[in-house]
Amino acid sequence: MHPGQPLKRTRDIERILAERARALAVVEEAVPTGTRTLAAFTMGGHELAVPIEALSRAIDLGVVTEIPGGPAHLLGVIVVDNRLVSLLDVPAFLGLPAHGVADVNTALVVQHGGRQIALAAERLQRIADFALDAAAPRLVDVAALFADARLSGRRG
Amino acid sequence: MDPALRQVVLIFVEELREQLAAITQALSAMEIEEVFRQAHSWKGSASSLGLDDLATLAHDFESALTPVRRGAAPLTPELLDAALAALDAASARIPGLIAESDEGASEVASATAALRALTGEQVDVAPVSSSEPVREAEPAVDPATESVRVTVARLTALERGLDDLRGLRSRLESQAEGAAGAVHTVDQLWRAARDGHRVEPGALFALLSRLRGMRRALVDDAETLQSHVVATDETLRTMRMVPASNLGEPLGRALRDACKKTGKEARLVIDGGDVQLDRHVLEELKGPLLHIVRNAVDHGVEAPEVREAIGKPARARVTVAIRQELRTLHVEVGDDGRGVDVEAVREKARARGLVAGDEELDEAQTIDLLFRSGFSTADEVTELSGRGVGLDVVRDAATRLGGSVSMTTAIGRGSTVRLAVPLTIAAAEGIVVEERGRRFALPLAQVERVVRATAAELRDDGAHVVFDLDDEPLPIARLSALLDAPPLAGKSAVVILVARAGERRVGVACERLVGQRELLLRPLPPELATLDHVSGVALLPSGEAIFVLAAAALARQAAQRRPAAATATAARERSVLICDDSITIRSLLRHSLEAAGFRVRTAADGEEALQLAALERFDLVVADVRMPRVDGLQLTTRLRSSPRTARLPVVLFSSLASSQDREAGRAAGASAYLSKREFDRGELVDVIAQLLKERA
Repeated sequence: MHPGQPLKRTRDIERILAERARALAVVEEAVPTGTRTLAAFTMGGHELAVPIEALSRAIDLGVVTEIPGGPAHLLGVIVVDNRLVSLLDVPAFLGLPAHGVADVNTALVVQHGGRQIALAAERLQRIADFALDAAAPRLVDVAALFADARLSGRRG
Repeated sequence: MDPALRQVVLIFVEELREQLAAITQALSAMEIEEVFRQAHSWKGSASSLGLDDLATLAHDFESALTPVRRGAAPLTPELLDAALAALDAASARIPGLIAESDEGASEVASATAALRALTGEQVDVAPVSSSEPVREAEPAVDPATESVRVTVARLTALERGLDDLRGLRSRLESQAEGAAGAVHTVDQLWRAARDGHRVEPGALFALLSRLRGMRRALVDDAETLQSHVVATDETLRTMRMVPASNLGEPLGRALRDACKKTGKEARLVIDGGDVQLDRHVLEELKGPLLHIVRNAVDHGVEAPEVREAIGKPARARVTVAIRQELRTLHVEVGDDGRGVDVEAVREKARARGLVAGDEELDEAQTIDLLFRSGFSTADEVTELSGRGVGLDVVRDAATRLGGSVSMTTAIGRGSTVRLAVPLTIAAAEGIVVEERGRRFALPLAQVERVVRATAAELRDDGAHVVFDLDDEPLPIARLSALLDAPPLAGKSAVVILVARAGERRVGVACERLVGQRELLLRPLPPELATLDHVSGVALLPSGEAIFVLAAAALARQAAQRRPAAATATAARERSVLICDDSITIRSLLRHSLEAAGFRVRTAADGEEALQLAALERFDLVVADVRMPRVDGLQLTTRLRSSPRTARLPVVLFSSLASSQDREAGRAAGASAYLSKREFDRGELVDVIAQLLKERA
């Protein structure tokens, strides 16, 4: 449906909505422990991951423009599809201790609620199904990232 | 209905259609944040127009979906049905809005009741209120999904331009064929000459004439193309423009509400409503202007009986004057109220330690304090404005737009807040400068002149840096300070951009002038919105991103006295110089060492580190080994060879960590050698502490 078109639900949308409603209504039973498809990456000696549905794209890091006077957890900004995206150092943002460092080579662009941010990665390890247990990489909650006051644009 | 209000309602109807469509799509994709963003806009717009039934419906829609947004409840089929029914009801209300009838009102009431039946009374979504803080009211807007309305005439103009461009393309194709023929002729003549045949002068002259004709045609076409670029740019610019009179209705409503709540009397006079301005600028200005108008009533206008007692009309006058000068929009909001007691502001600032006891502030500097976050002379919280006049919100908005704000006041006669912002924010001419390899831009409209000087001509009196320009001291903001880089010294050439920000001037000192460029401006992402000194980001045609500086913020920083206390504190801290060509590593090390209580400076390579070490005193250096220009081993050797830095501890920090690498580090004079792969913040801090202890 295009903006400006009078509101009239299509059959497709109704079908999608019905399917989603059914799936959501039984979500707890359907995935009791389960696995999840994650993009795993390393940064600051930590193995981290984002859900594949939040990952917009993974790109080789080119020019990073440093942010003058910017916070420590933002390494700079990059241009993705003619749009400006901030490059986030997840371990620094989460206050995780650094265990070894290497050059950042990859940016994982994640999106949520119409916003985008790029997660700095030393290496994109793999995209695979992970069992959600203690051995899984540390999962980055993308919704929580954007909700955090440090990334929401609200003054602390 | 008032014709102006009706026009706004019709615009709202169009927006509502788009919002309802967007919410439906977002629901189908389970993009719950987008659902809320759209619903919030719907609620705000409906409320501001007094369409209470639609505002209430949007409010209850948000309330019903809030548990889903928080992850506390699934989106059940019942809830989804009720949500979709609410969207249908809002859609059904649209014909009634257009016809100014009650059509669809009962559907809205039913849908509202259905949502409430699902949620009960536990509503915790903030209701729309005229006193809702501006900063929290607007969620981030994704520019990629925004839309603008375009008149058919403007679309037609674009289509005609496209037709002309098609014709131009045909001509260029024809010229390409002509060029191919000319190449063929040259080839034949060349072969003839190569084979010893005589080339006829007449053939050469004919070729020359042909090429001259082609050149003339190409020059003409290039000019035609340029005129189309200019015309298209102008058409696109006007597509984003809306009349300033669109502000009249919400400002009038805000004034009426404020009067009602305070018991005061005031009338709003708007001058310049026909000025056209960028829709984004209008949206950015709307919130701050509402705030200024409310504040004028709440803090400026006296009660009717007081006004009469001092000989003023009982009904105050609040004026909003809008005018355009070249590509700058000036908005002045004035009132004829009591004005601001400047001396009281000074006393309050001293009492709160915002200025030193002996520091002299002139009136402009004092009034500027009112624009600081949280500063207020008000002793009580009012329902309307909260504690404080909230002018920091206004300054933030002006800065985001690349503009400035100022205020003048006279006791007993009232106050005037002046905003100056670019008329359009999508594209602007800018001056691009460079400092330590990083590029920045300043909007051309803010730059008065460019001056070349030497670093020695910048005077630092310990509190400010100034440059004597036309026998007047000009406050200087050094870009090197923004980058935490050492200032240029001695005879080094310095470029000073003299910029105007409202009533103030500032000299922006940098290394190099790159030139004037067309800037395609992009708003800052929300996570960067709190940076005061940048107003946006520009993408150069090359794809390079450069930060656009906010002259107003730089002027403030340049005018502010550097506190002596900070210098004293810094003197007690241990100072560490970090040198690494990777911004990741610099950022990580800075973060780690600052958290451990060190004062940190950074350099991007050994050359920059040597410059810093020559200018400042450090207690220790942490350096990478592999770096451009001067590497870590060379840096260590050169530090050791200077008497001033011979005993300065140097920690090499590298991913090269073989025994040979470590030995090379020791041979160069490194005090310690740590591996990046085995980096541990605690270990680094321990090593640094131990080295500093040994040195002491």
